[in-house]
Amino acid sequence: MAVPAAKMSQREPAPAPSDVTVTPVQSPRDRDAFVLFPYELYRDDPNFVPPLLMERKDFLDPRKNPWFQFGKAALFLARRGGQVVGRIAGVNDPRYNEFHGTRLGAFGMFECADDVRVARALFEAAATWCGAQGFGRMIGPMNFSTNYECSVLVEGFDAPPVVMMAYNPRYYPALYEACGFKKAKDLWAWELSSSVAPPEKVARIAEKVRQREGVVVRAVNMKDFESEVRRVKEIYNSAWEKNWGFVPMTDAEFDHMARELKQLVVPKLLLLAEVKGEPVAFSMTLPDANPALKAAGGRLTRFGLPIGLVKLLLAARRIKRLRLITLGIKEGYRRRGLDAILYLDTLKAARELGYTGGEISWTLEDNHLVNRAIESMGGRKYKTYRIYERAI
Amino acid sequence: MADIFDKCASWKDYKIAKATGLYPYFRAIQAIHGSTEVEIEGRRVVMAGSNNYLGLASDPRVKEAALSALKRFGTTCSGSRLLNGTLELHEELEARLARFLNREAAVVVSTGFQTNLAAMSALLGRHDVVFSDRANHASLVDGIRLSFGEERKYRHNDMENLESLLAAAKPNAGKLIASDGVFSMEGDLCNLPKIVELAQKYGARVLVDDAHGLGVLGAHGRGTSEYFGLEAQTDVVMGTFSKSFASLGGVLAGPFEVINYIKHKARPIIFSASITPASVASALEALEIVESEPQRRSRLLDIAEKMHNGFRAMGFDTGVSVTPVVPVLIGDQVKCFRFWKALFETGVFANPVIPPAVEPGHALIRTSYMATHTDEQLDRVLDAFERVGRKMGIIPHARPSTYVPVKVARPGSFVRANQASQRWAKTSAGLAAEQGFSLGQLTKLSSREMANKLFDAVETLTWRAANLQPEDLKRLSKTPLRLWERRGEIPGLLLEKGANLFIKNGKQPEA
Ligand SMILES: Cc1ncc(COP(=O)(O)O)c(C=O)c1O
Repeated sequence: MAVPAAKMSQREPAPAPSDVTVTPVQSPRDRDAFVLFPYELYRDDPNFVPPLLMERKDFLDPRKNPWFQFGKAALFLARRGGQVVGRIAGVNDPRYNEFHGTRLGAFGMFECADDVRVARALFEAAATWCGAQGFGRMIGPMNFSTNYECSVLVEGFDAPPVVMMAYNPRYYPALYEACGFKKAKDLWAWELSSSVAPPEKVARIAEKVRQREGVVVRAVNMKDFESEVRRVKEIYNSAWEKNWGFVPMTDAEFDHMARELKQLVVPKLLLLAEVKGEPVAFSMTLPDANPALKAAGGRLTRFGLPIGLVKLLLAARRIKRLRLITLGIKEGYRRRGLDAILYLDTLKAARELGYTGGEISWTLEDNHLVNRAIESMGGRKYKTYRIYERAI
Repeated sequence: MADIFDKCASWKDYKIAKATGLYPYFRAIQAIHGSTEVEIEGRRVVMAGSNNYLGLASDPRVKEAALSALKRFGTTCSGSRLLNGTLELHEELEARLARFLNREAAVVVSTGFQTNLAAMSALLGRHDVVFSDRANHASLVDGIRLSFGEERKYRHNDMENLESLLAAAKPNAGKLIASDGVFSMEGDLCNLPKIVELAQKYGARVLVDDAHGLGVLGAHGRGTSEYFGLEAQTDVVMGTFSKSFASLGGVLAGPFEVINYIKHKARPIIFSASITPASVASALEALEIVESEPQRRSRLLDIAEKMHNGFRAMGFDTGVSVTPVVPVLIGDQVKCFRFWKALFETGVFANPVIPPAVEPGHALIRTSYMATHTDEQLDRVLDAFERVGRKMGIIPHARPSTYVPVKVARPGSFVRANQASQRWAKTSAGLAAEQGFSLGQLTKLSSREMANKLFDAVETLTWRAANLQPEDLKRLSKTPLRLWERRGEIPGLLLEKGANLFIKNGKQPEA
């Protein structure tokens, strides 16, 4: 358990961040250092999954990442004696604030050596930047919103992260709390094995609903990708509307995301539920590409040869796990058991395709309806992620 | 047993640069056209990289003076100033320079480089301390190495750093603050007012190397100290004839005893042949013109302002410079070489400056101008930079809507450095002197680094290719892609790869 911030600061007078300097990322070299830092930090961590370097670079490139069409981010690097020891981004998401009617700053891309002084200096930089944007509080980590990777892993460090979930060293929660952060919300991840048969009762109810409501579940038609994306987008943005932390995606963001995921998806695991021909619910389950990414080691090529690419493709054929990443139901169709139908059909498809199990993530800790449903399906909560908040 | 020649044989950088066609050094000039245009490899280009600031190197009066001295005194003096190598002409030049610079005495030395070696080695004794700007010229640095004095380097123009070093030094040690007046790579001035103030506070002497300031700065061309109105407080001024003075040689001017001492003690003076008669006469005639034609200086500063602002209007960064030394920031060093090559092919000669002369990632093209450049030539230079800069993606395709204009160091303006780019100054103070220059620049461009650059390019292309989707291909056929616009850079990278392979196989490609 981490020591609460208040106690910590009483015992330990804030040490001067003397030898740590935090500077904004300015040159292309700084930017490279920013992107490369995690590879160094996690060098000896067996659970770390190195992202593809190019993907990370594109993510931070305002010309390539559509989030930058409305959002602003300022990148900072912490150095000690010339060595990079941490990084952070100040995040200004005007769409979040517009949607929720808040004045909330954010931070993200936080990576830090195990040293409170470095963490403090980094958070100070982000806080100062957020302050200058006119915010009084900040929330995070958001990279750069809940539509992307976000939150800190606080429990369940023994398993590697699944695709597009955050991962971090064990000491991060303590760093946050020592720097005055309090929990804003917990996010949960659930483990599910496809060999466990769903309870008889659930299956029976689901079948009944299917009959009664005339629910038709079908896989997404990849040949008609663009119009399918449009249907899904509509469900997505209306399904999450009332959720904590949610920001609707812009068209550009959604298309970009769809494009990226297109490489990854198994069409049989993208399910649309229609009632009387109207698409009303959607679930997306992805193969957990992380073992393949890990095999590539961050690059598609080495010494000019497609070594990473080959390793990635080979490892991709051995993927055995899945992540159920979104399941959304339009307003007016909830509490009718549509979720159970989608779960069951996904499970069935997964078993047929030879997947052994996977993760359902993430769910909000207080979304009792969903959490209870997952539990009733045989899911086991195995990881907790946290989003923190503090005054600037 | 190691052979001292081993390092020469195993030094690959030259071969790589040569094989890639990016080697920019020792380019032989075949003909000159009034010194603002030259012919290299049969191509006539605008010379935007010369230190002939006032354009006097081809002035008929200067040439005539050189010729007549040559006829009277022959081609060389064949000996040291101390012994058989002093002509009346040398003494006349020294007297004229002393008068020009308002000093008791002056001594002329065979080159500017030797002048600094002479001053430092003779002045700095065992218990003396010299405070030297990190961006000082190599000749000052080497002069200090030649001396027995202790060296304290301060961060480029960082007066707090200088003061803390002064305060930390033994109070009774002899102290000298040595700084370039105008820094040769980045074109900013030293903070002479503060240097002088600190010198007085801590009992130090001040020496200013004004190689790029004499003839250029101040109402009368007496350089940085005249510009700041601090001639009396600057103890010793060093200058060179190889820039504004249309010749070859250097000068040291100051109190009589000091100059006289150096003249008799400095080995770089005593053991080297004196300046040739023709060079002395050229410098004398140039001095005459420096004094009588102030319009050359104002024209030069007008040009400097035009070029700084011309570059900035396009989106280039000219750093901290406020002088006719106009560096154009490029960034990556391979890019800098490619930029240099493209410039040359577009008809402009300028100088590429890469690490360690500047900080990594701050490679630049150093341009410098002459009072005799015509507006048409200058526009050609600007145009070439704009075209190459856009093609290589260094500046945007549309001009930025605004830019902060540069105020150049005109008499009475007292600017020292361009504030808009102060940030650049802090990070990229020229380190030339400290680490050796010339071909040493290339040593940072090791074959390993080149290979890594190539591998990164392959990674990028693979990533882009892996992300291509049918709709991209459709779009590709419609609009010209950026990659296509920038195709010019690809052969360069491939060439680098090729060069590497050649070198690995021990075969040397034909250049
Ligand atoms: C600042 C500075 N000092 C000294 C020198 C050396 O002068 P010279 O070329 O006469 O040897 C130069 C020029 O190369 C210079 O830029």
